[in-house]
Amino acid sequence: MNNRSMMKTCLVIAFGVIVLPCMACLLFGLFNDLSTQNPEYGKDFNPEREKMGIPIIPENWELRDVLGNRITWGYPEYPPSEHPIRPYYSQKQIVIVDENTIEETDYYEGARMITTLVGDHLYDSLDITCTYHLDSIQEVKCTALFSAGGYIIPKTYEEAIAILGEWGLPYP
Amino acid sequence: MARVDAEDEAEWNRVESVLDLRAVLAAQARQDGQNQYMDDKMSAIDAADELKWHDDAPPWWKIWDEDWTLSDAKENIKNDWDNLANWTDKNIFETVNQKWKDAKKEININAVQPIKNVYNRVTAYINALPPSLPDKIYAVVRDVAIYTIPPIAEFLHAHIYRLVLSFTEAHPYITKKVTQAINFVLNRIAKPMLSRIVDINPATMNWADLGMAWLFELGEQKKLVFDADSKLTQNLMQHDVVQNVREAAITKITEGRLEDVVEDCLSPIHPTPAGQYPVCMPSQYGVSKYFQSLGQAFEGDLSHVFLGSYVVTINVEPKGNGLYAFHYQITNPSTWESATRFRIDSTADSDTINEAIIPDVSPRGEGIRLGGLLEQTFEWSEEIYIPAEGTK
Repeated sequence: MNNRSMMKTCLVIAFGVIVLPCMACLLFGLFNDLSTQNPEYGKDFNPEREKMGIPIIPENWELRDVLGNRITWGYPEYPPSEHPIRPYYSQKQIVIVDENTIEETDYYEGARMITTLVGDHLYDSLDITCTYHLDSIQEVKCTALFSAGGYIIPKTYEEAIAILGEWGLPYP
Repeated sequence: MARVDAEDEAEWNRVESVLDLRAVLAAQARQDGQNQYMDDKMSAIDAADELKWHDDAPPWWKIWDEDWTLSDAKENIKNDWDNLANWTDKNIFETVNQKWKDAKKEININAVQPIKNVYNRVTAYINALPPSLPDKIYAVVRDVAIYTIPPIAEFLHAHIYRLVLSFTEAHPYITKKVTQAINFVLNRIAKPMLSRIVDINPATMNWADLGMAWLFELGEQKKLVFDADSKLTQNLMQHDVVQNVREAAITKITEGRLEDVVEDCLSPIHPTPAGQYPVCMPSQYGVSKYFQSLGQAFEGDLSHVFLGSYVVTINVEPKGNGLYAFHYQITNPSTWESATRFRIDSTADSDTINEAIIPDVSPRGEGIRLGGLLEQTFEWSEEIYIPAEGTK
C-alpha cells in the first residue's frame, strides 16, 4: 500500500469513526426532546416532597439534564425573555446516591451583584442540599452553601431559610 | 504679463505632476484668454487645495503623519501664488516646479526618517533579547501576543460574540434546537467519557481536573470548598501572592497597625468574624502574566493558568502573648468572563481590569452546558508567634 492510498484509508476511517457518529449524534440531539422523558423522582414524586417539607418541582419546569445518576430540573431556557427576574428559585438537582438514598439540591439565585477586587461580576446564590432515605422519608438532613462576592460560606438550614426570607422567596 | 506661448508647453510639461492645477489653469486659459487666466488667482489656489496627492493618500501612508510636511509644502505653493503680484507664467511654473521638487525631497526625508526610527527601535529590541535561541523565540512570541491579543479579543467580542448573542435573541427556536443537539453530544458522549478520567473529588483533584470540571460542568457541586489537606490548597500555599499577603500581615502586626488599618476585603459581604482583622491582596493577571504562567504550565504547574486573577484574604486572630492565628481564604470563581478577560478596559468604572470577550457568568446547567459558574474557596489556617517589639 503506497502512502497516498494509506492516507485515503485513514481519512475514510476517521470520517467513519469520528465525523459520521458526531453528525448522527447532533442530528439525533436535534430531535431529542428531554421534556417528553419522565425520569425517576420527577414531578410524580412531588407529593412525597411535600411530606418531607422540601421544595417540589414546579409544574412549568422542564427536565434540563439526565447525566448518569444526576437529574436536573429548571425553568424552560428559551425564549430567554421569559427568564424569571432575580431573585428566583432556579434549579433542582436530584442525585440518586444509591437505591435507598436520594440527595436533592435546590438552587436559588440572588439579585445582588458584586464586583470583586479582581473584576468578577458575581450574583449572590444559595444552594440547599437535603438528603433522605426512601425507607424513612421523615428523616431529612439539609445543609446549605451561600456565596457572595466569591466567598462560599456554609450556612445552617435555619440561616438559609432566613436568607430566602430576606429575598422574599418561599421555602419549600 | 507675458503670454503663454506654444514653447511654454514645455514648461507646462515640467509641472506634469501638478495635474489638477494644470487642468484648471488650462481650462481657465481657454475660457478667459491666455493673458487673463492669471487674474483669477483664487481659482488656482482652490486648485492647489484640491491636489489629490495628499488627501487621497492611502491609510498606510498616514503612518508618516507625525512627520508629515507635505501640507507645509502645499502651503508654500499657495503662498507663492499669493505673493507673486507681478508674476509671469514662466516664473510661476518654475517656482511651482521648484516647490514641487522641494516637497518631494521633504517627502523622501520624512519617509526615510520613520523607517530609520523603526529600524533603530527593532535593533534595540533585538539586542535586548535574551541570549539563548529558545528564550529569544519565547520573548518574541510573548511580546507579539501582548500587542496582538487585546485587539483580537476586541474583534472577537464585537464581531463574533455579539453576533452570536443577537442571533440567539432573534432566533430562540433555532437556538433551542442547536443547544439541545450540542448538549446531547456533551451529555451522552463527552461528559460520560471525561467523568471516567477526571477526578472530581476536591481532596485529590489537580488543576487540570478542576479546569476540566469547570469547562465540561463535571461533578454535582457548583461550589467547591478546598480544605488545608487538599492537593490544590497545598499547592496554593506556595504562591507568591499568598506569601506576600502573609508578609504584609506580619508587618502590620510588628508595626502595631493591625487594629488601626482595617482593609476593605469585601467585609460588608463576608463579615470578618469578631476579634479578627482582615488583610487582603488581589493577584492580578494579564496577558504578560498569562505567558509567564504558560511557562509554569509547561513545567507542570497549571495553577496560575487556571486561577488567573484571585483574591487572597487573611483574617488575623490575635490569641494573646504574641500568638496569632492566620486564617487564609482564597476565592476564585471560574466563568467565561474570568477565562476570557483579554480586552483592554474601556469602561468608565475607573478600574484597569481587562474586559471579557465573553462576559457571561451564567450558573451551571443553563444554555450550552459548558463553562457555567464554578465557585471555589480554598481555606487553611496557621498559628504564628510574633513577639512584640522589645520583647523576646
